[in-house]
Amino acid sequence: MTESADSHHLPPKSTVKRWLVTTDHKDIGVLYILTSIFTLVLAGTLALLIRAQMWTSGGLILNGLGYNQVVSAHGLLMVFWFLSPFAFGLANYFVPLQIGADDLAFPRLNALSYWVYLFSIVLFGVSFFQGATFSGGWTMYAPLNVPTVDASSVTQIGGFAAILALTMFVTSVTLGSVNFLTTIYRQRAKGLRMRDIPLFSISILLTVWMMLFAFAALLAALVILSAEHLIGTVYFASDSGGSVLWTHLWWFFGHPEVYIVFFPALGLLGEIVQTFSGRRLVGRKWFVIALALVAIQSFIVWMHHMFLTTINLPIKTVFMVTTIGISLPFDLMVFALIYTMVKGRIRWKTPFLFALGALVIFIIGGITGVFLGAILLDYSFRGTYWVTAHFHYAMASAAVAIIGGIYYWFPKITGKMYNEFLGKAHFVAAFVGFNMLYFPMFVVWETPRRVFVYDTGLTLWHRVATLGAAIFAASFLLMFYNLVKSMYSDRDVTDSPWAYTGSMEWAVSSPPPEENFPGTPSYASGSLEFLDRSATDGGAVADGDAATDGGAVADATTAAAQPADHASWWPFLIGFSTLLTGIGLSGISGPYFVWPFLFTLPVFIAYLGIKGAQHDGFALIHGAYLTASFPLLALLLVLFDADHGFMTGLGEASNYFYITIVGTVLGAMTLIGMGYESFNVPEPKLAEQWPFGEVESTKLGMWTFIGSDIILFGALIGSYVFARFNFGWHEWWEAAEVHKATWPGLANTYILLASSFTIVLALVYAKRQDKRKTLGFLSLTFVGASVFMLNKSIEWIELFWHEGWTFNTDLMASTYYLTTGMHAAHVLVGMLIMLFLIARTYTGAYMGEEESQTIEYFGLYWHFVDIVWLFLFPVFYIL
Amino acid sequence: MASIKTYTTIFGVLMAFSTVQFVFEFSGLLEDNYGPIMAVILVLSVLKAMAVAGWYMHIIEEPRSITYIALAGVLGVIALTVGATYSIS
Amino acid sequence: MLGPGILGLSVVRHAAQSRNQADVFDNLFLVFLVLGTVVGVVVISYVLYSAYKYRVSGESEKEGKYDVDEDAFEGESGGKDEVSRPQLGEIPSQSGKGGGRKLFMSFAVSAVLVLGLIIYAYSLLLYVEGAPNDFDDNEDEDVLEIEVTGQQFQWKFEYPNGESYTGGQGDNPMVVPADRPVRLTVTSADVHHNLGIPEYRAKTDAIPGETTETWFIPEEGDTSLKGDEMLDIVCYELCGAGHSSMRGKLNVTDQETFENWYENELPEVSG
Ligand code: HEM
Ligand SMILES: [Cu+2]
Ligand SMILES: [Cu+2]
Repeated sequence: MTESADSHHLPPKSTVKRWLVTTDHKDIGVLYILTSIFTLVLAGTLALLIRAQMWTSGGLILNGLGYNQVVSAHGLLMVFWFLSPFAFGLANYFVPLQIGADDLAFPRLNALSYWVYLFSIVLFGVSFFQGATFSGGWTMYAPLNVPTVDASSVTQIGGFAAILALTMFVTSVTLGSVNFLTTIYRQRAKGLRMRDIPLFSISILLTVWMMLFAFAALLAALVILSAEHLIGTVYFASDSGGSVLWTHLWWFFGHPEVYIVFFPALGLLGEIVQTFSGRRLVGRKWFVIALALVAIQSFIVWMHHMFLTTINLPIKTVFMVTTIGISLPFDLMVFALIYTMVKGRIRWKTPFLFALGALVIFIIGGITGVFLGAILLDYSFRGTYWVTAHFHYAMASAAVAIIGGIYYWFPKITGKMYNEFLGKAHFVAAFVGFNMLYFPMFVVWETPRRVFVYDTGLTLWHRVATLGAAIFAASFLLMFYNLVKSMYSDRDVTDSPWAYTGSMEWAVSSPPPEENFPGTPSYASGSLEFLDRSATDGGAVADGDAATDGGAVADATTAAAQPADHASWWPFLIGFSTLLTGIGLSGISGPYFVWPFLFTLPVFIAYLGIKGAQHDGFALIHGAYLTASFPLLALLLVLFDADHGFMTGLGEASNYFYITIVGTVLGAMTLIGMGYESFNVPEPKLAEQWPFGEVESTKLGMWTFIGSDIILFGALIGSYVFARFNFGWHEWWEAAEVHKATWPGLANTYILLASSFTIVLALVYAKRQDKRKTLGFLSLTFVGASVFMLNKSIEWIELFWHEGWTFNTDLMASTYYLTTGMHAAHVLVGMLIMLFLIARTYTGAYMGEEESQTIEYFGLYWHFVDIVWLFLFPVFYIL
Repeated sequence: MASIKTYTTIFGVLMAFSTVQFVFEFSGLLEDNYGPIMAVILVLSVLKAMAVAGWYMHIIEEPRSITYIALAGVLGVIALTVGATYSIS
Repeated sequence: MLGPGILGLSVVRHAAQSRNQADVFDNLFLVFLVLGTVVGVVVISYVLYSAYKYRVSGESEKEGKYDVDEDAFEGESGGKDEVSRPQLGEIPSQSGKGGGRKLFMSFAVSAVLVLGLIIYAYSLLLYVEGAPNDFDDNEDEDVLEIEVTGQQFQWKFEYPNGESYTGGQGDNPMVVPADRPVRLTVTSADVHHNLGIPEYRAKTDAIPGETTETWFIPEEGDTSLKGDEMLDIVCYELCGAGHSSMRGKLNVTDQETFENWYENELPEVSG
């Protein structure tokens, strides 16, 4: 850990290049904050359009489709692209500083999360110009969200682009969750037990746990939805429970999601109230326990959004109970915050005011939530402004708290103090505006939401709300002005401009030094010390309270040089390639959809040869890859010719087809580039790592990723079970008009099990440094995978062409093709990684106890894919 | 890491279980006794999965907390599947 | 607390006598609103009061510090009364001393309140959910069954005699006689809609491939409603470009008019 802490050789901050190549968590934190504020402005503008439309019943400026787009985009952008990234900007910056880590566990992955996030906003932006963006509400209810039902050509491409943008966002979130979990578990300062980390970091930890699982469920829903668009499966369009299935998938994700956006705010409230009350949080232990409880419970309340669907009374009762149960821990947390203020030494600084405001607002949001938990009341509130008002009081309370956090940490990030008067003015305007905007919504709660026709008797209240919106929006100008202006002021701050701070970020200079700490932080002695880096386990150097000035320390610690360069272009480039792919897919037509991906395969293989030769020196294997790519390409061209006719096919392909190809090819090349880049992040040596002490960071990362993948496949299998149960379990295959492919299924089970066995053997021999056998078993695994794919193709071709059982024939076909197809995609990805591993092994990599770990991690992935198959086999081939 | 012998034994067991699952269907046993045989088939799959996770992914040698991560995912899936399916029954 | 409590009780008693969803809702809503407001006002006042009462002021002289000086309070109250202050560099899990009992008392009180409310609300729910069965069991109740299908952006009504028609925007209202329970069986022909009749607090999802139910009892007093004054049937789920204007109408008539309409006019509008 100590070595990696030296100067990361990043270009200076004044250059654009710095911000494109940086992997420093503080830089990326700032990028997140700025980008999310951009989204806030964008989504806020849309909100003003909504309120303008509501000025009179019947609308002022937009037509029906326009209004639906605005409402949907506003909700999607605020919930996904603003709130969480806003909080995660702060998390990126401060979690490592609070727990004593030099950076996140995987800095390049962190940069990749950011760039995929940024480019997903761009894709969302593009969708506005593709006829119309998504217009089905942020909850995207089915079957309005599928192309066959909403066949209007204006909403097609843009609507799908927005869905793809959300899919990109989910990818970014998943990478981020894996990263934060690994960091928090593996890189805490000595003496900092899990329960000891500061409240904000705890709240982020629980947030990423929820994200890891909840977003995987959303990903499953989006994968299905994308399949409906691309290949015409009929999950949601089917009359057989498709619409209800969507609500289950959506809300299984959606309820945790509303806590995901709120949790960081709770942590911040804890920090801010504690600091500005000058009193340690009352009942901290219970506060934390309540947080953890809520995080777990959030996964078993989702049907309270579905009280009016076809779900039965017993299940409604269960979900009413869990819903009410979940409000109680919140209750406790609110009281803990309140009692912390009592007997405090409260300073009414801007951050405190925002925290206070957020608390008040949240109390109202929580109380009105309890109304909704009472099923009978919900029957009437569902789909009205009561819900709108409730969740704005709850969610926007999160935004208000995070703004408090921005003021709280602004001096730490910039080294300058904001203008207190303007800060207070911002608060007053925002608070007044906020309540003028949302409180009337309770009064006019009978107005149906997402509708711009309302009872004219309510006009006055709606106008008050519109005026409130204008004030609320304008108040932010004060903040922007204040913060920008203050950055260039002479109000320099010390390490801790606030009194009664406690956590580590306040013990370093403002802004913090590039390597975060003047020495290796440790709490081993009972309070914070920075230990000499050159002798990690040596004596103490600087005391926490007397932290030295950042610049000097930076010089002192650059000594232990580490050649690894912490600048990387690949995250940016990979992000960009996903944008291109997203744009391309949004408009590609079904018959063309797979071709860009197939054509990328030979490029991938050839480029693997080229890059490998550059990196490891030319070897036979690289030549073999290059050579093999040509016949593969030729084969694909022949197949393409058979499918579309070569010239006509290319001629008729739309630009979207070509954009997709550019995107996927660039994606393949940049991924290989990143794979071959040397980027060394040593395992932390002096750190608290319970309960993952013996697990290396990458392995922990892999396991958390597998955790989320379990949900992804589980949700797909769950959808199948739901659909089949709804249809009639026993009638399912009879209705399908094809026979289960039990024989091929068995063969593939054998093959995949064998490949699991061979990859284990490869690892065994890699540890024994037996290169020949390692290579042999790796290759055997690859061959096994190839045979699996071949067998699978034959099975599909048989069913698809010969029996005419296509994706959209029926629900049985859709679930079968999509679930086994997702699995096959995982196998294919595994094969591509294996090609990389084989090339590296060939040139001597991975031999020995430590080095073989890469093969071990890959093995984890491969075995997981095998396990999935162990369930798909009975579910789709036997039962 | 376990020994190659252990890995081979497990491989044998996995293949055998898969064959048994197949035979249930092939012999028509499943058709005659759908409920119970389905349960057996699924239990066999669970056992296979546990064998792969336990030894091939050597979860038994890792700290328990790794197991809990995987279990958390599995619990989530069960909550979703059972909850959703029960809600419409 | 006593005042609202008594109010709540009397409301409860009243609710038990009424038959319609709307009355049940109004009463329950009132109870929640009163208690919710009381709790909200009490808690928020206490928050603001505490924040105000314990405020301190002063600015540190130290360069770069923009807050009070911790030392300035040396010897002042707060040191003695078991309040612990955060200190830079401490292990952050230190908890504030004291306050724990108060915390759990407040928690317990609010938990009891919430649980009580919910149990009460649940009992009313059972009534509302059970009512359709009661109609069926009760021989004298002649329930009017109407099948409603949502379709972008209108409602289609099908009466027991098999006649059906679509109605939107004021023309072709759904017609029902007063004082006769109506059971709506609702589905959708295209996307997810939600049918609601706010006046009667009847609401249910309209989902393609599924049917849901809701019920209401139109009241005598509503029969005079005509034309623009007819009751609204609103779609509460975003269903496409025309969602905002997906309004149907409900015409409540007296028994005789209804029968007349049912015999003569219905077959005419039926398509
Ligand atoms: C404190 C206890 C809470 C309870 C009992 C509660 C209960 C509910 C219920 C039952 C609904 C469904 C309403 C309906 O659509 O018919 C709902 C909606 C919602 N709640 Fe809460 N809630 C609580 C707190 C929160 C918090 C903390 C947040 C977010 C920060 C939140 C955000 C939302 C959102 C976004 C929706 C609406 C989703 C939509 O339909 O678009 N709620 N809440
Ligand atoms: Cu919820
Ligand atoms: Cu609608």
